Amino acid sequence: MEYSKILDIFSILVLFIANILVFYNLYTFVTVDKIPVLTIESPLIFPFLVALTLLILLIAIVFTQIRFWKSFKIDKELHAEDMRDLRNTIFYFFLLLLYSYSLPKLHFKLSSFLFVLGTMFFFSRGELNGNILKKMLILAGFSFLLIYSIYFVFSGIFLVILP
Amino acid sequence: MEILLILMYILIGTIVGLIMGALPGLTVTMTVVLVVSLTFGWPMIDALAFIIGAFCGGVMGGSISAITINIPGTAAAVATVFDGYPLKKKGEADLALGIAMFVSLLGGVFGIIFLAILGPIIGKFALKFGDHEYFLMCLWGLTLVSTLSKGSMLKGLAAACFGLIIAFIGMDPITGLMRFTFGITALGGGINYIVAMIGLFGMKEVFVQLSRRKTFKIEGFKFRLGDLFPKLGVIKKTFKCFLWSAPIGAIIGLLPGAGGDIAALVSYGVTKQVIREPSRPFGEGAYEGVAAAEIANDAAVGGAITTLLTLGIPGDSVTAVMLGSFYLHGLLPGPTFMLTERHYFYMILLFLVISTIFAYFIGILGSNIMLRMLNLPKWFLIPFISMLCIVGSYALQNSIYDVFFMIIFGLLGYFMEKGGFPVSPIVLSLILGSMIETNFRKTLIIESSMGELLLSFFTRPISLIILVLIFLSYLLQYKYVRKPV
Repeated sequence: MEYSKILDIFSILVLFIANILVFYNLYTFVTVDKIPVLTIESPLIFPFLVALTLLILLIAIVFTQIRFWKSFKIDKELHAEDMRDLRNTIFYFFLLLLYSYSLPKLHFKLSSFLFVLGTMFFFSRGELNGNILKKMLILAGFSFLLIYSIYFVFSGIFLVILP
Repeated sequence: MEILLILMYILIGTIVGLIMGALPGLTVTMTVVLVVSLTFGWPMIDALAFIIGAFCGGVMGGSISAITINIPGTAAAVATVFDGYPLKKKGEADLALGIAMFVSLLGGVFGIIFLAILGPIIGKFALKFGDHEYFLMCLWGLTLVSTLSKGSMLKGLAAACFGLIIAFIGMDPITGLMRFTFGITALGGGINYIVAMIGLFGMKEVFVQLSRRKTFKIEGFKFRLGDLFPKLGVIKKTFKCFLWSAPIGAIIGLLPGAGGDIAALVSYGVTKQVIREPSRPFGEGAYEGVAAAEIANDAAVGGAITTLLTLGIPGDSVTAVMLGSFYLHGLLPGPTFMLTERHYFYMILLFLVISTIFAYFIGILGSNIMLRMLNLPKWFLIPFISMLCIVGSYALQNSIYDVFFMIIFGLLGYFMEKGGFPVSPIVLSLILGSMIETNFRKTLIIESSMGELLLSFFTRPISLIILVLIFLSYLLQYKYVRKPV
């Protein structure tokens, strides 16, 4: 997978935030619940040691990466492609969240059909020829088949209760 | 009747594995994750038959795309590309695939024999382990997966710590204290590692496919089935590779952190050194090159399963997922496995043998169908895999929160991998998190202080050996595999 500097910084930030949240939670345990961290029976000793290790590692990573980032040259064309990929990824992520949110409300068959049809339509741009109505009909057929196959396998054979 | 049903599960699993393994971008790890998500409510034996079938099929399927389109279907098939694709360009794709499948069968069987012999020996030794050794063994597994992952060692270790932090969410395994939930009810039960696995390996791959522009088209190409069974002359030429490639594969597979990809590359390198007069120069379609890579990556399966079952330490991301699936179905691999669940050990051996044989014959018979599957358009594959991930994560506990977590893990995994952070250590930490913490705290209570605890690691002989191995893992990684990103 192609390296992305922006996502490298983002990942480091996520880890820092996770680390801060752990320390904040430990702090509230000590001050509010009066549970000590550094005793041998403490349920917080191991999380504290791991969070401390992560903090040290993150500081080391930032120092080594700063040197690397300085020497890292961004190819403008590649950067533009990266940005387009990122937009597509985030768009698809929200589409997935929307679909998951609609699952209990619209139930499996309808929400999945709409999701699969929408996704297939979006990703088949420039791949399927013909007018839009014909294309929609073909994709609707594929979506219908796909949803019913998955429904049959999970619900019919494996007896999974789908929303 | 029951045996027939189990054989059917192995057969279906193998077919699914072969297809998924052959599709570029869909890794064996992802295949096993998706297959596990289907088996939540199944009886353990049926589920294991299905999962092991998919695992063996996936490993063998990787060579199909490596030879026909120059892209390894799985990481383990990376060395097969070197001579497999040049053979296809010379019009000998049938022969290349025939060799790859046949030697895979031999390599796989060797790995299983290796497992059958070494498993009980390691199992007997592992019975000497106490809490100290359990803790250090888990730590060694985490260290190896983190340090041997692609990219920077620091990032691998940070990913492992991040995984442990996620594993802490929910109830403390000893006192029952609710930790790191921030009052969110959905986090009360913790984050299920299967959900995280589906997100980090399955959904992440969907996001990767979104940004992959290349599509594959194979038109007007067909395998002649008769030619997929290699001729005696070719077998004779490649058989000598078996002498070193099979032991190399099995031994490398045995090492925690090193999987089929490393085994295949090492075996290919050794073969290049040993064989002075190959059938063709290496890299230009040498039969020996294809054989060396394929024997080793399949023999590594047996080695990796040995470590997994007897020590409870997964060798790579695939075996980490296998470990998760074993836990899910009530099997507890580890030092006591050979004592308490010996019959399951032999059952797994048998499933591996049957799966390897099935994978060989189905691989040959279905090679043309799998070739056509390589043409599946992205607009079909992306929603298909997404649906499998969503339904799979929902089916675990009938909870929509699990689906949300899975999607978030998918995006996080994609971002982290693009940023140079490996995701395998996160999954392994999630699986081993509770075991590491429980053993650490038990050891700490036994030794009554941190100083005594550290000292005890040096005074107990087995602990000391494991400690030296952990230290060596860091040292060797630092010396030989250091990378900047």
